[in-house]
Amino acid sequence: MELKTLCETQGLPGREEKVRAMVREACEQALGKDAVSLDGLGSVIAVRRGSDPTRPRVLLAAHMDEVGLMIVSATEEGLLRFRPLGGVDARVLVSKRVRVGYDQADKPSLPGVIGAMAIHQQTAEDRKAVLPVEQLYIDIGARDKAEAERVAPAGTPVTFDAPCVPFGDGLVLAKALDDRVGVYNLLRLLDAPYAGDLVFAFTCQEEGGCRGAGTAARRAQPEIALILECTTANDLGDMPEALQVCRVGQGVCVSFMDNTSIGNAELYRAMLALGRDRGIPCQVKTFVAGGNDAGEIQRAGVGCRTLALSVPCRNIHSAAGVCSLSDIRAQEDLVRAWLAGR
Amino acid sequence: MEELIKTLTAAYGPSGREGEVADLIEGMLAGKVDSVRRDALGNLICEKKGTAADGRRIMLAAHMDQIGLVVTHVEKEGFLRVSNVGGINAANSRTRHVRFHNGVQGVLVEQPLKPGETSSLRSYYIDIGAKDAAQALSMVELGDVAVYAEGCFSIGAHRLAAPAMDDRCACALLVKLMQTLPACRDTVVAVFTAQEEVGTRGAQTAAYSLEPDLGIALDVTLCGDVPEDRKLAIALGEGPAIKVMDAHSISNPDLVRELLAAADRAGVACQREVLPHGGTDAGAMQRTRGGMPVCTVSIPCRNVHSSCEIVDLTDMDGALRVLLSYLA
Amino acid sequence: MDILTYLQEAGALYGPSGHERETADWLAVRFRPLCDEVVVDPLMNVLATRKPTAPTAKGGRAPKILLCAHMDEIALIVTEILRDGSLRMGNIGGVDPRILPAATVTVHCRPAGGEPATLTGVVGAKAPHLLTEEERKQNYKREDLFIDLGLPAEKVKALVNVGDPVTLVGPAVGLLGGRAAGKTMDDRACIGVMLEAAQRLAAMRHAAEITFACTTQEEVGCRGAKVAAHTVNPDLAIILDVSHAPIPASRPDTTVPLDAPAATYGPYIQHQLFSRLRDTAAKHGVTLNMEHAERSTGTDTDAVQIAREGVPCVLIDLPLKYMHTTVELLDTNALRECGRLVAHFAAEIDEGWDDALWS
Repeated sequence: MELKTLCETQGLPGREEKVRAMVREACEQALGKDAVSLDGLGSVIAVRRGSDPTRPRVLLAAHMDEVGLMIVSATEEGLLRFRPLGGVDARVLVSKRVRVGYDQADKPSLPGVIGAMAIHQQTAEDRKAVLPVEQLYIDIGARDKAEAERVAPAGTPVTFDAPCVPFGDGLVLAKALDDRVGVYNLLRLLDAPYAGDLVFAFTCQEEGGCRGAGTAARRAQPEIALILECTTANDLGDMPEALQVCRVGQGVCVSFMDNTSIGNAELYRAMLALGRDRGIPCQVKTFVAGGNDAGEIQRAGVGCRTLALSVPCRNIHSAAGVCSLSDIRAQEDLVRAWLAGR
Repeated sequence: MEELIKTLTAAYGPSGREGEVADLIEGMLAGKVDSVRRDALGNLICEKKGTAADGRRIMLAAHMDQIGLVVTHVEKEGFLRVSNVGGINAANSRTRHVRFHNGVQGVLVEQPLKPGETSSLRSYYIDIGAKDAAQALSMVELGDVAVYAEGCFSIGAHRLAAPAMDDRCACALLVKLMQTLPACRDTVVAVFTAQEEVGTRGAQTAAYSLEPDLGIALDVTLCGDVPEDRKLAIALGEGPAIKVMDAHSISNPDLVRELLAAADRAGVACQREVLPHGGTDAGAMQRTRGGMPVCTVSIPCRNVHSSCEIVDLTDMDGALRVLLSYLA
Repeated sequence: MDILTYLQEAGALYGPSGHERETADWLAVRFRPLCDEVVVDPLMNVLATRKPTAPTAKGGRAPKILLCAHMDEIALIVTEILRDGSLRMGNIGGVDPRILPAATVTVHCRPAGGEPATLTGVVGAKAPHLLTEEERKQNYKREDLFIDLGLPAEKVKALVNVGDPVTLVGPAVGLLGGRAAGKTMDDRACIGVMLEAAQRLAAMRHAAEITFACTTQEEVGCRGAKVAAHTVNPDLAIILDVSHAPIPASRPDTTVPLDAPAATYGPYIQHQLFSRLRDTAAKHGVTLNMEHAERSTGTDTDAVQIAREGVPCVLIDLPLKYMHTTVELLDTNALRECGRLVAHFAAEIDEGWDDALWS
């Protein structure tokens, strides 16, 4: 499946149905209908039985959802009030285009814009203060409250309106790279050579609290789990090296620790050594921040050894994420090589 | 007990890197328990079977891990930038002697603050005597973890100070308990847990796999008996504390009473603890699977999360007698 | 069921988070005649189950429904006994210190070797005329307050221990227009909803197995619901909790009207199940308002949704004013309507309920 298709598909936390349908079909085609099930949060779990029971049961996981917004009410003027789903900084919203609702065959989603007071009219105070989300609105051109509520009732999902396009030198610019990149690679790895049981989990609701990973892992019951993710790259703007976290284009990021889990020490060292031996570009995530599904997966049930392998992404959680195609490839190559060597 | 504490506090074992501590404890308990195993998170699980067919399964948890500093970046000049593993307190960390798993030693230093800048670990670095980044990286790798290097020493008649007293003193207590515990009705599983300092992670998976009927955590607690800090009604040397609640668990009220009654029978004076923050492995155990009654037996400790955590051996001895009395 | 009487009795039960045994025993007695099986689990959750009273549509496995409302109450706890015999206190759950000055409280103690006893206390603070100008502009902080038991210090020390729970006093009172106010409407009013629903279900046919869980330790982090959901292992869950009705100072999009139940939408809520709930309400003429939760709902839903391999959840809200005070105010008609909605929703869950859940 094309990365472009995956990134342009809409899929907010709790509303992953469109991504789920695509992923489910791809898994069923590759592994057969019986191999694929859904857990109680709607995560897709695909099991590929191995021939060698002495090999550890391995889980590969990536999350289907992306950050976005949700409509909560309409004003008398027909403007839509919203709340963020997942960690969306209010500062990335002003003056952006969004899609209100999901595209359906018979009914496309509605375009909308997030406006704010013109700079001419702002006081010095206005300029200093960050506009809180509660004071932002989506304008879909509705004339009044009744019209707005009819076309975009409370609960309507809103995604960034941004196509997935090539960018700069070997990079890609898109919304939802976090974590459609992982989903993309997971689908490519469905045929990866490995003699033991291999489970693929496409999880729900990672954004806004890593809700879906634990439930999926309790179904998958792995001994080792690799989490295919995106992580913040803070590598531009004359940032001190110690604060850069990781650099786009320097390879897949191996994480010894973040705020939700400590990567298994042996796996961490083995993965870096493997990258070195095979010439697969790897880098160490050099800042302890953020978190991902690894935390929930590590401690689901009796627990398992985990490691997060992340593709560096600039402007993560915005309409304009930037990743390197070579880093995306390195994520797949590293997992493939590791599985082949187990 | 004193020897056990000295040996265990000397071991290297930040969260996620508890292997050395587990090896030591496994040696101390060789032949004293019926089975020993380790799980995916690095917990060391030592079981002593009960004599009664209908006996309960009691999980006792003391965590092996200590707080540390993980290397995140190496500056051109060879200085190491770090982030915290667990609750490292910057104010407690100025100009400290630290060490790594491979014997490399260093000094943790705070760089001069700019006007208006507040102190945080971001302004700290470790000097390991390297002349540049290449030399530094030949000594340590990104992701390696430093711990406070101070040794254990006696102060006064029966008090000890060391880094990692949280929670190696309770590991020592649990080792001593398993060494001396006579045959009893209930099956006792001593779990030396991993990754407590980063969120009671090891206890969660251990409790899930063991399915105990009851859980007791052994951990240190703060003291309110030092100058200008009287928020907490706990004093060093006044006996072990039975936890009523903290931010992560409310102890089962019946179990609190049973432990206090066991203390009475053993003639040990106990304190009652209400800690407005913090948590122990009890919180993780309580809410695993279908849930279980839990409590924490706390060792009063001054300067928790510093390189000189102080405990009193009479409190340790009291805690041992309370547990023996409860389990008998 | 006479709702006001229920609210008065339930509100008077002793049940701070972690200390719910008395409340659990009382509720188990109330549910027993309405259910086939009632158990109290290690965390004092009351799990009351009605077996199916109708066959499933195609004769397959009966779906399992979990209903949750929490029984625990916010309270205080003794942290220190001062030399003068007054008590310093900490929180069990989110008690707003603004409600405490001059409040009447009950200290639940158990003197050494003795039986449980209660002492009445009053919360005191530094008198206003002793405060500086600056201090007068600020609310009292909890650490500046103390409980006065009116007893000499020696007597206090003989009776009270650090760790003794302290409950607030606020008996339920009926107001005009079928409204009522009192302490611990949050969330024992919603257990009243479950009792109301259980009574209705006893006279209806339902294909699902329905477990009513009165949960514990919600106010300190949904701890009871986490283990209850693991034990019950349901196919879907309906969580009942209170929410905020408008008052003059309310901010936009933070309240729902007092006079009818509401349902929450957002990522923690399964959206198809939510639609089904709205359809059920429309079909039976129950007014159902809507409320949003862009992430954590702050209710047992947070724990139930991710129990075991995941549980599709809906969250039904009973609006009230002045939450976490001793005068939580609600509309008893909304409570009754909420019970009616829950009964119909549960009764109509049959085999195949999840056919379109994930599309």
